[in-house]
Amino acid sequence: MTDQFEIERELKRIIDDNLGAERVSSASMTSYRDHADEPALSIAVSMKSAEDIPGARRQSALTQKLREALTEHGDPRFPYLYFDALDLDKSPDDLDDFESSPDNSERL
Amino acid sequence: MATLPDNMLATAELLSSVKTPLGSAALRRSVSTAYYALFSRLAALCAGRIARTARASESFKTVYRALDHGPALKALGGHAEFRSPLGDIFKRLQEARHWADYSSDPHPAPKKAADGILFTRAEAQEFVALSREAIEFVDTLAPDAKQRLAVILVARSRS
Repeated sequence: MTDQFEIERELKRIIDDNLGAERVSSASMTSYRDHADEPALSIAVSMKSAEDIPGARRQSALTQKLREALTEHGDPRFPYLYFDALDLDKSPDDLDDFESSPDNSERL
Repeated sequence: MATLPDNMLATAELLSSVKTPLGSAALRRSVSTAYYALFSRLAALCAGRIARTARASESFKTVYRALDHGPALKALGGHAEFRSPLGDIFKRLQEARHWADYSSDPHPAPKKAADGILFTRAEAQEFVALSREAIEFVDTLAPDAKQRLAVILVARSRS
């Protein structure tokens, strides 16, 4: 198997080639086991603008290219893509509390 | 008349666009519903193609319920014809749905969750679009491909 750093550098190149390096702000990769306990690679891609986030068809094409690149290197991880953008609205309204603070212990 | 998967997609879209402050609940339900829209479309395909009877019949219901999450994931991922885009989208949606339904993390991506980054409305809408893309893929398959897809989804391969 190719060195993991080399593989992830190749994946970054594939992302840049497909989305336009000038449009990609960053791509962060994290290995983990997914919900089915299978090897996975979470790829968080941050685009410079929300307008640059690819549509479903382009995301699928990119997933296929990344998966095939991993397979070619004998790497069984599945690439899970997550996109956001620097100018994307991140609403604080979407924050939850799981009632875990001592003040709320009666709910536990 | 719109199908159940169509209406589930519309529901997922509605949930992802809700402006009322509902925490992450609406976005989680949106992602989960987007997954189940695709799952429902596949289950209906299997029932229609294999049972070949009316929707109200026991045969239809039995095959509809025969589709299982794990085996379907394996079947799609292991089949050259359906691995991409359908299998890849199914896998992404199932992973996101698992987070939406069971996880207390703020985001399905482990690093983002560890950093406390919230799942966004735009991300929920991306998953809805992925589900729509996969359903359109299924809808536009040729009849013989639909038949093959139904069989590989329901048949259990021996290992």
